[in-house]
Formats: sequence, structure tokens, C-alpha cells
Amino acid sequence: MFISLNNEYITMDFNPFPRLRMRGPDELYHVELREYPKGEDQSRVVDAYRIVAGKNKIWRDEFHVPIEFYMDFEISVSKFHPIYGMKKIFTHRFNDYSKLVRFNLESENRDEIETWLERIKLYQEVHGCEIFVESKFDDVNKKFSSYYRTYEIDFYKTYNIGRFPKSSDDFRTMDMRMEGLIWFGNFKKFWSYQHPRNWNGLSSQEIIDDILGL
Amino acid sequence: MSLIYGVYTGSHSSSVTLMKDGKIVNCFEEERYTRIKAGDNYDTNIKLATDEIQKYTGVSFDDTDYNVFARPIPSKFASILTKRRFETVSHHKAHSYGAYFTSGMKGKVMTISYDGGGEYTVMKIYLCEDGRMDLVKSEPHSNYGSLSHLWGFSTSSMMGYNKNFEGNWKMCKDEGKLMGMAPDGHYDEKIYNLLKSIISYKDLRFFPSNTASRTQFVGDMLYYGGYFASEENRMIYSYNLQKITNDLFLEFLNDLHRTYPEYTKLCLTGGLFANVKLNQKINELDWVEEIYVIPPMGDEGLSLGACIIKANQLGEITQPFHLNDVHFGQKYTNEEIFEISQSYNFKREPYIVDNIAKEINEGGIIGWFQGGSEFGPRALGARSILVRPTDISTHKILNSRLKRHDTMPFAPIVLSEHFDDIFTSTKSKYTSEFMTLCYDTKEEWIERIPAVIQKSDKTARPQIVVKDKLPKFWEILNKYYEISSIPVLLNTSFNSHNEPIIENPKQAFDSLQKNIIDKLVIEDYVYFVE
Repeated sequence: MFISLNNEYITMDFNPFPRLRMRGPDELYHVELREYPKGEDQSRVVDAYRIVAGKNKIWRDEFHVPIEFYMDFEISVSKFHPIYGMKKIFTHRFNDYSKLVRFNLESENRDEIETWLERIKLYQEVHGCEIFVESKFDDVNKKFSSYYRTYEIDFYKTYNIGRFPKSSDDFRTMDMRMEGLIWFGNFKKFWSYQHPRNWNGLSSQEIIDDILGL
Repeated sequence: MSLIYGVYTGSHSSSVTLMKDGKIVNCFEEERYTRIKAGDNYDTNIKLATDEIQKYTGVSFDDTDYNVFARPIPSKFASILTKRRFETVSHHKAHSYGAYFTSGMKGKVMTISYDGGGEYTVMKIYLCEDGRMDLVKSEPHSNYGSLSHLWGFSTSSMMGYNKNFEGNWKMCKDEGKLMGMAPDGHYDEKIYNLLKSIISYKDLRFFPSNTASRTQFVGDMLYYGGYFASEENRMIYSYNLQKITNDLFLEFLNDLHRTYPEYTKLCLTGGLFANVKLNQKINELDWVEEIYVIPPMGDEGLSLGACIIKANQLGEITQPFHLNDVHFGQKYTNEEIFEISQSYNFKREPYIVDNIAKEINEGGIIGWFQGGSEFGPRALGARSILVRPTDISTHKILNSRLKRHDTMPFAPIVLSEHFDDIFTSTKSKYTSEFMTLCYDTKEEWIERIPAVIQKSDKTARPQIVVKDKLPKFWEILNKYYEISSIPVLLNTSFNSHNEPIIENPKQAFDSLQKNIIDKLVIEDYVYFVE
């Protein structure tokens, strides 16, 4: 996704996690990701930091939060104004209505794929999105995605569905304090960036429901 | 009747406390052994202090009845350290129990713990009465702003970053520099509004959240724009930082008072209340009867709080009590000290109070080493440097010898009998035994003790010295008073700039060797270079 705001340019995607880069006249921009947790009346910060748009490469030039599963989030960009301080210049609330969402199904078990497809259809009903499915089964891929395969397309969001191990280079899981769980935004605790809960012992449906927030 | 170890290990200010039958035995801070003030701001497990306290007290972690860790705590570390069962307590609960139960306050008391965040919470408030504490407010990081973060990240942005991307001034360590220079600045609407775009307050809420990244962003933009290159601008920024902190926090407290009007005594704990200027403003609120700020108000106090929570559960501490002092570090005998001194070529003579008071009156800079070192950030008569308060040129000499920042003010100690003569407010004297808030100075004293008065706002951060509590410290102060008619001395912490307070005789002797002090009073002897 490419957004142009006067002389500032934002490149952003959620494939498979929220990621944003800036180009603009200022040295730094402030990017913030907030979640609207279910059943709460306030949004909460998941992560926020400044990114470099200028020449000074001391800080990161990309904002990303590696959470791949579903979140009702909002991403915003602020710039520095010498009189008003922080001035919000861009806000985007996650909304995949009528947009194309990709589902990568990592399983060789046909029955499991069928279970997951049912839940993906439910996700589609709830969100009103278009779906693109990739799996090891050609008939499934053709059935759900043949139209889009003829074009070069940008996906609004990508979900990886499967049983993924914790990543050893995930610095947050290396923090001894976290006791093997990842904390984000000082309120959100989960098992890995791809699974809110440990998938051991969960059914196929529970695994995909966790990932898709169903 | 029980033996309890309390431990806090974190990114800064780790400490360990031993409590026996509800009495504090020792509190050791990791910084005193690593010699890195407040720690390095990285997650490291406490090591040297836990080794030292076990060696010194003879009580190992396996000998205790309980080992209590203030969270956050890695359980792997706790298991390795204790090899026995251990338990954990919440960060802000440990802060709050430590403060309330050492306050000595009777009746209804409100305890506020507020810091940059522990265990993902910025603040907890307890309503306390007759030894009972009820939690009434708990605010998480994720949707609550933190004034402590405003200070922390302003500090680390102000002087830029070194090659490891660390602020040249460090949070959790150098905030006092900003507080010290604040009175030398002035109100600037633009800077005030910039700060207000980072954090505001309404209806008992500081908002928006993530003050940390917002402050970093604004601070860095000011830094890269060249604003902080000028010392005057740093002072202006600091002034407005202090002002917005006072404005927002006092508004919050007044709202809190409307909610709980019968709670007029306040116990304050957490890093925010290391800010003695804010504490002064709180103390000056009409409705506030008394405030108490626990001397180890930062995270170093958590190990003590953890012990107190356990002792309270066991019925060993049931009511708030008064601390006599906070000299909970390692003590050294005259013989041990003499042995250490043999590596140096010093003269030694018995300590005679009259002689030392006379030397101070004549401009001498005296190192003062007595008993165990202080627990918490202030030097309170165990590891102090004493100087006459009457000569403003003292600043230059001391700053030069200690390699100290010029804008940092020096603090006085004052005889308890004369406190009301010198300072305008008479509230909250107990907490002032631990140098935790500022007072306005009476006009007639400003010129008499210029070395310990902040020139710009005429305030001072006194330590009240009570004869029964610190007799030897009181005696030297009183003797100086007899000579000079001034019941005040300058007391600065016994350390060089950027270092923690010294811990052992060797470090004291090194200071004497380097000519940082003229003479060293250490227990019952005076050491000096002939």
C-alpha cells in the first residue's frame, strides 16, 4: 500500500505483519500501533517508536510489529511540529472489507485443510473480504483463488495458518523474564508471533480460530 | 519468627534485603559493588550484592524461611539463587508496602506508587489504615501515560547518543541533573506545549500512553535540530519539564483528594518521587497534612518492600513504624579499616570532634564514613562529604574535585532543633530526615548559607539531623554550630561524579589519596596525608 500526503510518502503492508516505511523531509517520524481489544472501550498501545526518514541511520528506518495473527489495530504516523509538538498526519484502522486477504495453509492433511477452509469462509463472512488461498492441494487453490492468479496483486493482509515453532531469533522470547511468553504493549501476552496460544493439544479448528480471531 | 531475603533484580537498581523477625538487618545495592550507578539499564541478574550479603551476614539463601522476589523476576534465576521454594510479589505492591510500613503514619493514609513502569503498570494507589492496605487504582502502561518516562527519555535525549546508541546522560541516573538545572531556566510557552503534546492529564488519567516513545521522538527532534546544544536551552527545557510535571501531578492529586477527601497523609514511592521539587509542591498543598517519601524510593527499595509484604503476611509487621536511619550497608571495624589503610601512606589520629569542626569551619573538605552505607540514593551521614555552607566558592572547589556538573545544587544538613528557624514550612519533618523534599529558605538565612541554597529559587533540600537517631552526626554538626553560630553543614554524597556512593574503606582511602577530600573521618579515627 502506498500513501502520498503532500510531500510525505508512506509504504505500508500487513503481509504477514504490520510494517511501515516513510519518506519525507523530516529526519524522524513517530509510528504507533494500537489495538482495540475485544470488550474494552479504549484502545491500547501495542508498540511505538520513531523511525528514520532522513539520512541519519542511527535508528531503524522501518516500523514493524511481527505479530502475524489477527488484531483489530490502528496504525498512525506523527511528525514533529515546532509549535504543537507531535502532530498526527496519518491513521489507518485495520479493515479488510472488500479487500483481498491471503491465507497460506501449511498442512498436508486434507481433512485439516477442509476444516480450515470452513473457518476461512466464516472469516470472509464476518469481515466481508475477498479470499486467496494457497495450499499444497491444487484443487483448493484453483477453487478459491483462480481469478486472482491471472493478475499481479497486492494483498491487504496475509495469514499463515499452521503449526509453527517458536522462532529462535525472536528476541522477546529470549528475555528470561518473559518465561517463554511474548509480551507486547505491556498488556498482551502470547505464545509466539504466529500463535496466541501454544498449539500443542489444540484442535485444527482451535488453531485457525486463534490465528483469525474467530 | 522468621528470616526473609527480599530481592529485586532488574534493568536498574537491583538490591537485596535481609529481614529477621520483622526487623531490617541489611540492605545491599548492586551498584555499590559493580560501581555502575543505578546499573547499566540492561536486564542483568543481581550477583555481587547477593554474594556479599550472604558472606557478610552468614545467612545463605538456603538458610532462610522465605525468599521473596519483587517482580519482574526470571524464575530460572530465582531457582539458581535459592535452590528452595521462592515466591514473588508485585512490583508496585512492593513499592507501596515498603513506603507505608516505614512511614510511621497513623490513621488514614494514601500510598501512591508511580514510576516508569514495573510489571507493566505505571501506578498503584492504596488506601491504608491501621496496617491494612486496600488497592483502589492500578494503571497499566498500555493505556496510561507516565511522567517518569517523560523525565527518563528527556534525560537520555538531551545530550545525544554515544556509539552504542545509549544516551550520553542515562535515564534512572541523570534525571537529577535536569531537576537541578530547572530553576535556572524560565517558562517558555513553546517548549511547555511541546511537552504537553507528549503527555496530558484529565479525570485521574495521564494520557496518551507510550510516553516513552513520544518523549524520545520529541527529544530527538529537538536534539537533531540543535536545540539542546545550548546550555541555556537545556535549562529552559528542564524548567518547563519540571513545571509540566508539577502542574499535571498536582492537578491529579487535587482530583484524587476530591475522590478521597479524608486521606490527607500521603506516602509516596517510585522513581517519580526522587524529584524533590515535585515533593515540595505536594507538601505545600493546603490539604496535605504530611507526606512521606521512602528513602529508597526507586526500584532499589523493592527488596525491602518484598520483605515487608512477607513479614506483614506472617504478622511480624502489622503497623507502620519509623526508620531510625537507612544505614543498612556493610559495617567495618576500626581494626579492619586500619588493616586496609596499611596499603597507603596515611597518618592516623583519634577522632576529636572539636578539631574536625574547626577544620570544617576553616574550609576543610572532610570525608565522613560511619557504619553501614546508606540504602537509597542520598548520602545521609554514613558516606558523606562535609563542608562549611557559608562560602559559595565551595561549589567550584567541590565540583572540580568531584568532577561534578556545575548546575547541581548541594544540600544542607540541619540540626533538628533549628529547622524551623531556617525553613518556611514545618510539615513532613520525618521524611526530611532522609532528604526527600525541598523547602523554601527564610530570607535572613539565604546569605548566611549560600553554598546549600539553590540560587535561582532559594530552596534547599535539607536533611534534618536528630540527636537521638544519629548522635555522632548530630555532634559534629552541633560542634560546628557552637563555633560558627550556623546549625547547618553542606553534605554531599561521598563519591565522584557518575559513581555510586562509596561502599568500603578502600574507596574512601582512594578519595583521600586523590586529594578529593582533605581528611577522612572513618569510624573512630581521622586519616590524612601529612
